Amino acid sequence: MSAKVPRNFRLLEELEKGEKGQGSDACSLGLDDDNDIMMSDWNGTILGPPHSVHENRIYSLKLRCDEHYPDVPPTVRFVSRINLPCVDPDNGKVDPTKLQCLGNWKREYTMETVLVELRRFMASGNNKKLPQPPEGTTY
Amino acid sequence: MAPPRSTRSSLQSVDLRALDYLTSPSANLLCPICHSPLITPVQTQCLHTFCSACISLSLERSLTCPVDRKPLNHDDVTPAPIMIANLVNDLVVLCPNREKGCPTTCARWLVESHVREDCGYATVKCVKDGCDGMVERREAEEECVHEEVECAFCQGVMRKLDLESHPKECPKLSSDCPYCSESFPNPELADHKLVCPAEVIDCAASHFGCTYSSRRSELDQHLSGCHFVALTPILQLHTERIETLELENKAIRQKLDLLLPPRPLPSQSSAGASSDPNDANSAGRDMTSEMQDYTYHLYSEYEQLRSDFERLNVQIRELDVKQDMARINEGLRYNDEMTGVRAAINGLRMQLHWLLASRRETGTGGAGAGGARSVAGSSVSGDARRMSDSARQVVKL
Amino acid sequence: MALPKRIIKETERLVAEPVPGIQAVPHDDNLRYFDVSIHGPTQSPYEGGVFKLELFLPEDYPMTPPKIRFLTKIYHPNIDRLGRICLDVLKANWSPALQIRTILLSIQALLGAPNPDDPLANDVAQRWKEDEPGAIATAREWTQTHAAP
Repeated sequence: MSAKVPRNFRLLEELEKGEKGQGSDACSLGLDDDNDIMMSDWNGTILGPPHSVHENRIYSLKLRCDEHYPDVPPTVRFVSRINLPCVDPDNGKVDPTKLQCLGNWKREYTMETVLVELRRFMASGNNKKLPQPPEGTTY
Repeated sequence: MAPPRSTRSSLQSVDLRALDYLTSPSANLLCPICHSPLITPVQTQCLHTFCSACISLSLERSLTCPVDRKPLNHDDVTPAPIMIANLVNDLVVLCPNREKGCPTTCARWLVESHVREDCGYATVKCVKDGCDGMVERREAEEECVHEEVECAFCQGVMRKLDLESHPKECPKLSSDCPYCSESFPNPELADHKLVCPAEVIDCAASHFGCTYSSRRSELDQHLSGCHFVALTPILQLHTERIETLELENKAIRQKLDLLLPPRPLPSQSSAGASSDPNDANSAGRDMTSEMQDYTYHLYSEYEQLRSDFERLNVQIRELDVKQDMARINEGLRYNDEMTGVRAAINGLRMQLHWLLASRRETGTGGAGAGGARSVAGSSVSGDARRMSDSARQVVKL
Repeated sequence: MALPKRIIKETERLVAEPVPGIQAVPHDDNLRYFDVSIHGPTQSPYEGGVFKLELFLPEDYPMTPPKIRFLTKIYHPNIDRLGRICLDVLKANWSPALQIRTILLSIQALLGAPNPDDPLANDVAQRWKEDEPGAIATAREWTQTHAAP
C-alpha cells in the first residue's frame, strides 16, 4: 500500500461510485450539500432487509466525515426512528463500539461498508424481530 | 584486507529504474514514460523510443503512441537499434547498497551480477543450515550470527550480529568525554559531544577563511564580531551559484562533444598521454572516447549513405536523358507519318474534285428546268459534303 | 514500495524550475499529494486571482492520469461545484508521456479558454452560451470574492 489516497479524493471516489450507481442496491449515498467543497456531510438510505420487521421500510441516515476521514470512521446517525441495539434511542446516533466495522475501523472501509453492515445487523438474530416505532417517524 | 566473502549468491533483486547514476545522463536517453535511462529500449513505428516494460504497460491501456498519439499496436514495437541499448547499458551507476556503505560504481549491465555475486553489503542467507536469518555478505562468517547472546554489562539479550555495535549503546557502560573529561553513559555520549562547552571548535565561517577557533562556550562572543560570519550569506550564495554554473557547464560540454565533429585523432591521443592519470578524469575520458567512437561510426555510416545517394542521383539523371531521347525519336517518327497522311489526303481531295467536275459536266446535259438544276446543285453540294465526311473518315481509319 | 523515481524527479523539477504562475508543493506525509496554486491567466475573467487546487498521483501513475480538483470556488463552464475539472487530457486523452507540469499548464490554459460546448457545470455553460458578457462578469466577481491572493 504505497499510494495513500488523501481524504478528498477518497470522498470523490465514493461520491462517483454513488452517482454512477455502482454501489449496493439496498443502500444509497449522496452529498448533503453539493456546494460543500469539503464534502463533510452525507445522506444515506438503507432499504430494510427482507424477512424482518424492517422489510419495505426506508431508513434515512446522516453521516459525517471529519478532516481525519478515512483514518477515523465517519459518525453515523439515524434520521428515521429505529429500534436497534447499536442505536441511541434518544437521538439516533450509532454507537461505534457496538458496530464491528466502526469499532475496528480500517482505512479501506467506506461509508457504504457502514451502511451495508448496518443493514446486515438489522437482519441478524434477534434484531429482525424487535418491535419498531411507527414507520415515517424521525428523531 | 577484506573479510572473507560468502560465496552464496544474494537473492536481493535490483530495481534498475531506482538506480542512481554517476553523471546525469543525456535527456535523449531517458524514457518518456518513466523518465529513467531506457531499460531494454524498444522503438515504435513512429520512431519513438521507450523502455520495453513501459510501452507494454501503456499499450495495455491505450493503443496509441504516448508521445504523438498515433495509433500503435504491440506488433509495431521493435527492439531499438543496438547502439542505443549499448549507450544506456554502459552508463555508470552507483551500487544500490550505497546507503549501507558500498562504494562500488560500475556499468549498468554489470550491477545485477555485482549485487548477486560480489557486493559485500548485499543480503545473503545465513551460513547455518536451518537458520532462516539473512545477513550482509561481508558479515557472513563461518558460524551463525543470529544466535542470541547476552551483554555482560546490561544483561540485554541480542543477536550476535548486533553485539559488535552494542557497546556504543549499552546503558551500563560509560566513557569520558574527550573534551571536558566528564563521564557519560555510552548512549548519551554522542549527544553530549555535540554540545560539550569545552570542545574547541572553528568559527562558523572557517570554510570561508576565518582562522579563529575557541571553546564552544566562548565562541558566541567571536561570532557576533566576525566579519566572515557577516559575509557568510553572500559567500554561500556565490558558492551555490558557482556550483550550478559548473554543473550547467559540464552538461553543455557533454552536449557539445556529442554534436561537434570529432577532432583529428593525433592531437586527441597526445592530449590523453600528456595529462596526469587522475581516476575521475580517465573515467570521463573513457566515456568521451567511447562517445567519439560512436560519432565516428555514425560519420562513416553517414558518408556511405551520402555516396550511395550520389550514385543513385547520377543513375536517375542518366535514365532521364535516355527517356527524353526516346520521346524525341518517337515524336519525329509521328511527324513523318503525319506528313505522309497529309499528302495522301491531298491526293484524295484532288481525285474527288476531278470526279465532281466530270460528274457536273455530264449532269448539265441531262436536266431540264432551272428549279430542278438548283435542287440538283444543292443536292450535289450535300453529296460533296457527305463525300468529304467519308473522306475524313477514311483518313481517320 | 518506495516512491517511483519518476515522481521524485518530477517533484524536484517542479521545485527547482517552477512554471511561472503555477506552484506545486508535495505534502510532507504523502509525497503523492500536492498543494497547487494557479494564477488566473491575464486577459481572462480570472486575472488577478490565485486558485488553490489539490493533486494526487494514484498508485499506477503515470499509466493513469493524476487526480486534480479546484479547492477555490470558481465560475467556469468546465469546472463543477466540487471543483472537478472536465479536461480531455485528464481523462481519455491522458498519455503517460504527459507530466504534472504539462497538466497544470493545460488547466491554466482552460481558464483562459472556457469551452461551454463540453460542459461539466451545465448551468454555467448554459449561461455562458446565452449571455457571455454576463457570465464573464460573474466569473470576474467570483474571482474577486473567492480567489483574492
